[in-house]
Formats: sequence, C-alpha cells, structure tokens
Amino acid sequence: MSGAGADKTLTEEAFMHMIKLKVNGYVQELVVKPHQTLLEVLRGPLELTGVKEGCGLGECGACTVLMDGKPVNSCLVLALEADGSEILTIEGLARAGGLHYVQKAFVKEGAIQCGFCTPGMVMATVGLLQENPNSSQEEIKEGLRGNLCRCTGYVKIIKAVEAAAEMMREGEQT
Amino acid sequence: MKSFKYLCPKSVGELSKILYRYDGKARVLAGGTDILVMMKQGKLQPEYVVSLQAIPNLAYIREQKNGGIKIGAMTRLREIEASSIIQTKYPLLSKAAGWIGSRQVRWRATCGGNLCNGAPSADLAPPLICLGAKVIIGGRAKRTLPLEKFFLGPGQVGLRRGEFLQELVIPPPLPRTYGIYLKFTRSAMDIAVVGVAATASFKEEGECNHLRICLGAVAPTPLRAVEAEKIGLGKRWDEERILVMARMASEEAKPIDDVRGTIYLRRHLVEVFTKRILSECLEQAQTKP
Repeated sequence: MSGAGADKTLTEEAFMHMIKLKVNGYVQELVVKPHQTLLEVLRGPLELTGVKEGCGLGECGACTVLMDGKPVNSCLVLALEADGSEILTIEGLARAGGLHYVQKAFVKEGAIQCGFCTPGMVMATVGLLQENPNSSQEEIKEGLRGNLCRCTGYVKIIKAVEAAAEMMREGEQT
Repeated sequence: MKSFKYLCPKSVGELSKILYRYDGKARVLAGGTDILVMMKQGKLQPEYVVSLQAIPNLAYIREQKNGGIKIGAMTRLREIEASSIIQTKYPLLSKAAGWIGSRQVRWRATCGGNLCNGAPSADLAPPLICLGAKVIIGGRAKRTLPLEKFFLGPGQVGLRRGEFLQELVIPPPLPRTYGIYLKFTRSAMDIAVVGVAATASFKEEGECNHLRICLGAVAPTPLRAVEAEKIGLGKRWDEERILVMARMASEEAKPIDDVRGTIYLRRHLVEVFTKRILSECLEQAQTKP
C-alpha cells in the first residue's frame, strides 16, 4: 500500500470501534473489532450464552435474536452493523412474572429435547407471532424454516407455536 | 473471519469516492447474508468493507404517479415480500422474494445485494426482468440500465469503478398482464436449481400482445428466452403452441452440471416450468376479466 495518505497504517487500533447496544433492556457500550459478529459479542463480553452458535453460516437459526424486533441470525450481523440497535435474546424474554408465553408453550408441549436449537427456535417464534399472531400452520412452518432441530421432528415444536399463538390471542402476558 | 477495515460513508457522494479510491480492494456490505458467509469461509478477503447502513434514503418502496414503483437498493427482502403494493401489482416479485433463504435471512438480505452478487440463480432477477425493471446506478454520474443488461457473468455485474446500485425502477403493470415465478430447489433453504418467470397479456380477441420469459440458474446470467417469446407473440395460444414454446425455452437454456443438478435435469425443468407457467397465464387471462 503506497501513497494513499490516510490509510497508511492498518494498525490494531485502527481496527477498534466503539458501539452502543441496548441488550435485553440495558445499554451496553463495547469496543469491538470490525470482523466480530453480533453473536461473538453477545456470547463473549456480554456472557449471554443462551444464544447458540450452530453452523455460523445462517442456515441453522440457533443464533436467532431479535434486532429492533426482527428475527435475525446474529452470526451474520457484524457487531458494528448492530450499533445503535435494540437486541433481545432468550435471556431477556422472561419477565418478573415468569416465563414468556412462548417459553411456557414450549415447556407445556414438550417441544424440547437436547435444547440446543430451543433459544433460537423460541426467538424466531416470538418474532413470527409478533408479526402475525394468527399464523396458520403453513405460515408457522414457513416462518421457522430457518431453524433446524435434529431431535424432535418438529411436530411438537409446531404444536407449541400454535399453543403460544392461542395464548397470545387470548391476551396473556406479552 | 480475517479482519478488514470497516468504512461507513454517510452519503452516496462519500460512498462513490470510497469505492473509486479503493477499487479492487473494497467490498460493499448491504445485508451481509452472502458476503459474510463467503468471508467466513475464506472465499472472500477484502481489505476494506464498505457498509451502506449509515447512508440515508436507500431503503424504500415508493409508488410512482405513473403507477410503477421504485425500490431502494437497501430494501430488505422481507419488506418486498410483505409489501401490499408489491403483492397487488407484482405478485410474482413478492413470491420470489419470499422464497429466498429463511425469514431471519430475509430481514437482513437486501434487493440490491441479491442483484449485485451477480448470481445466475438470483431469485429476484427473472421476475424483475420480465417486469421490465431498470437499475439506477449511482456514482460520479447517475445512469440507468435495463436490469437485463446489468448481469455480465457469474458474480459479475455492470458496475464501473466508483459505482453502486442505488435503486430499482419497475414500470407500471400492463393491463390484463399475468405473471408467475416458479423455482425448483432441493430444500427450503437452498438456492434455485432452476427458476422460471414469465409475464404475458392477451388482446380481447385472444392474441398474445406481450410476453417475456426469463430463466434463472441455467446460464451464466439470467436469460431471456427470446426465441420462445417469438413463437408466442401475436398468436393465439393452444396446448400445442405452449408446448413448442416450452421446448424452445429449454433449448435456449445453457445449463451446467453441478452439485444441484445435471444439464439434463435443468433442461427438463425449464420445459416443465415454462409449460406450467404459460398455461397458467393463459388460464388466468381466460377466467379473469
């Protein structure tokens, strides 16, 4: 690299950036490197290990979190790109009053086996039902096609989502 | 992932300057659902990553006075899929957007990214080409290009030094025009093995007065099946003619063998899908006034 003025030194310092996130209701200021993903920051410095890393390529959905209310794969978002946004992870879902209704429904229907996909599955479900609490079974299947489960065969998961949708329509806690 | 320098321009002017200056060393980051995967796998190691997210007014779906629409390059695929304007005016486009990846992917992935990757299988390309879409390219001077001319080869698009895709312009839907997109994949999350889109309209007397057929994933770029179109234009269609058109489209395709399918399978799928789509267009024209 020669002659290009301002960028002559690509030192470690040039790679550090300050970001501000609101994670599960709390404002967090962090220093991150450009190549760090949101997932790495959530699991690393913020110790939110409920967010799982499965494939790391946006195929399994285990790392799903809500970013400004929308479900995204946190492994495919640079931490820098999340600057200024609001993040909700599985850890922030339960309130003082108890589990979130989607969590309750997953427990009630036994939609969990090894549990690795569950946080991502639950967050994708919350995103789906917030957008459309009247999702049909087809829409539920489409909405969760980015979340892989290697244990359950999905039947109980879909039942749980339907049960959660019903609770939501009946106006349980949100 | 190998590290890089992250640049975050605040305006299209600044973006253009950065892209001009770091030509060949910089990659534009829109939604990131493709390029971050390639970077993680080491297939792509840019020195500079230029984020579009701080540039205002790149994400929108705007209805025009003439009845067409404009879509900003940073508009997320989920928004295109769920837009009531697009669902009403260009249902094949919202469907194509909805068939890409998962919902999590579609909340990040953008229409600009889908096109600028230059993938022959890009799901938005066949419907947009059938709809006569144009791309507005930003840079030192703005220019307009029919989307069809934008694709140059696998991974290659018609952006010159310092240029970027800024906006899509879709002309108003023609009256009594019917359009369909079909995609064949191995699984829900996979890219297209074959994609076929067509738009057609017919005069009161039954002659076809508009027809576009565009094939995805069967050539180095999305491909208009122009010879098949010639067979259908200006004619009344029957089962026989539709079959001839479908066979011609299949011959026009230039597919390759790869992990997702063979040349034989792809040609066969083009014929089946083209036939199915054209029959459906004709049926819609005959039943819907």
